[in-house]
Amino acid sequence: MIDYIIKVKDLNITFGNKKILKRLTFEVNKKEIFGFLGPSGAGKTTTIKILTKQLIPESGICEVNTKKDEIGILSDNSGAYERLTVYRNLSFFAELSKTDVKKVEEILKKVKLWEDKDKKVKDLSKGMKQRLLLACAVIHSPKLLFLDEPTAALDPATTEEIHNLLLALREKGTTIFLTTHNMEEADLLCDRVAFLNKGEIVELGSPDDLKQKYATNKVKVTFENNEVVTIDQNSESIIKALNKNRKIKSIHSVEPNLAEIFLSLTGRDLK
Amino acid sequence: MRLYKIKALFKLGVEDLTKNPNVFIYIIMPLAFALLYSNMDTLPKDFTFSICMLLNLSMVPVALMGTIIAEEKEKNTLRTLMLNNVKSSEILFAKALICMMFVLLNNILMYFIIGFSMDKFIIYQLVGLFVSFAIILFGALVGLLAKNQMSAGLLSMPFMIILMAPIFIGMTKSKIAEDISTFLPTDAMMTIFTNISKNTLSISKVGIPLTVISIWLIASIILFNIAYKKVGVDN
Repeated sequence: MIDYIIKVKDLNITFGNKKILKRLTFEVNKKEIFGFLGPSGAGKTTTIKILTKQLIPESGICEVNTKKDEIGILSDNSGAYERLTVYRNLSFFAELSKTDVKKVEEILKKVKLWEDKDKKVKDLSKGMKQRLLLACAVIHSPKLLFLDEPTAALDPATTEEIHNLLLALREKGTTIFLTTHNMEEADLLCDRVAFLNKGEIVELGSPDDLKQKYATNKVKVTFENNEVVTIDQNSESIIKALNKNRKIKSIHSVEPNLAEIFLSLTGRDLK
Repeated sequence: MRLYKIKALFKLGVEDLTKNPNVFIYIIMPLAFALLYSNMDTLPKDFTFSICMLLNLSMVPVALMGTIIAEEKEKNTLRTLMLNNVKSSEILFAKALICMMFVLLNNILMYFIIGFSMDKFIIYQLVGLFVSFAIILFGALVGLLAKNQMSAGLLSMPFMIILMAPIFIGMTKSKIAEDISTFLPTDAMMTIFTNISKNTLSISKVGIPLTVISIWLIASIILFNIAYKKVGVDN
């Protein structure tokens, strides 16, 4: 049985003289949230466009093992009918996918747009429009969902709601391909992440595995007087710290976050 | 083609169009001409109706369809539809139905404004619908080639003038212009109307005009499909 829903092998694409993707290779497993992380211009959106057949690659294999009707997409190319209301837009996408129109209310409540259902799309803020487009992408309960920076324009409270919605979708069996440069978001949501830099994957794995892999040989010691010191993880350093006759409250290994790992691998910031 | 998708697209398209005042100018203009011509007692009614119908078919399908498709493209809803597994044939059919509905409505209203006899009503409307479908598809092509609604208006202008050519060519008496004009769907329609008016309608008389209209129809379907596939990918 095939466990992957997306398989990409040796994918290459060039725009003009610039090589955007270089022998890109990865697989996305069914029912996981796969984070595709990288700074602007790394090739994240290009990869989504190839996977959704908006771009034709020069070479390489690109397999998406699901029916076209079972895919949902939210990207910078998504649009809504501006003269029509929020409710009408979503009910249209429900009709297009033969989804029960009763689901419109449920989804609008989840993305916190129910009270604005009678507003015309042209009167919505950028964040509200983004939530509507997300609602349009998930109304048909897709098996595979592509999200290109879905929370980029949203406030923290709405972002949290969206995160909960995405986690609920994963629970129901939706595979999510998420591009972001928000490392906290990736850490919170993703089962696995791939770091993309200048068109190449430089690291791939679960956030926890990557943190362990790139953990420094240091521990953080917190004393009872709340003093915190970071020392090497060898017995000599610990004995030295204890010799100062202070009571230790806790000792934790120091793990780097995803942004620090990316920086150490590429020398580039994720912004 | 899936009927539920066409139905959803049609319903939404009509709703959206009725909230768009910009396109109503294209729809109202041929009616205004019909009102104007109806007061000219010197012109025979079948001629007046043919001219009004030619104006309607030269303006409404190209401008309306071009604007609708260009707006879909400009506002990214066309790409969203493509990504939602809507086929080019489904979009084309639904949008063409909307345009045909307005063309037909205009043709019927013009018929009554001019006060034409009812015995030829159905045949005139059927011919008008057949021709309008071929022109609507070219309007869709204009929409796909245009970057936005404004450029769709500009692109459709020369096309509309070419379609209206049979009116002016009749005045020039140029044989070459007349020969070229026979390749236009609107000229073919005028030939069919002349035969209906003279009660000389037969396959031998309208075979060539019907072939011309059919070629326009097939060519526009092929060109629309090529352009749609090109719009669907970024490279």
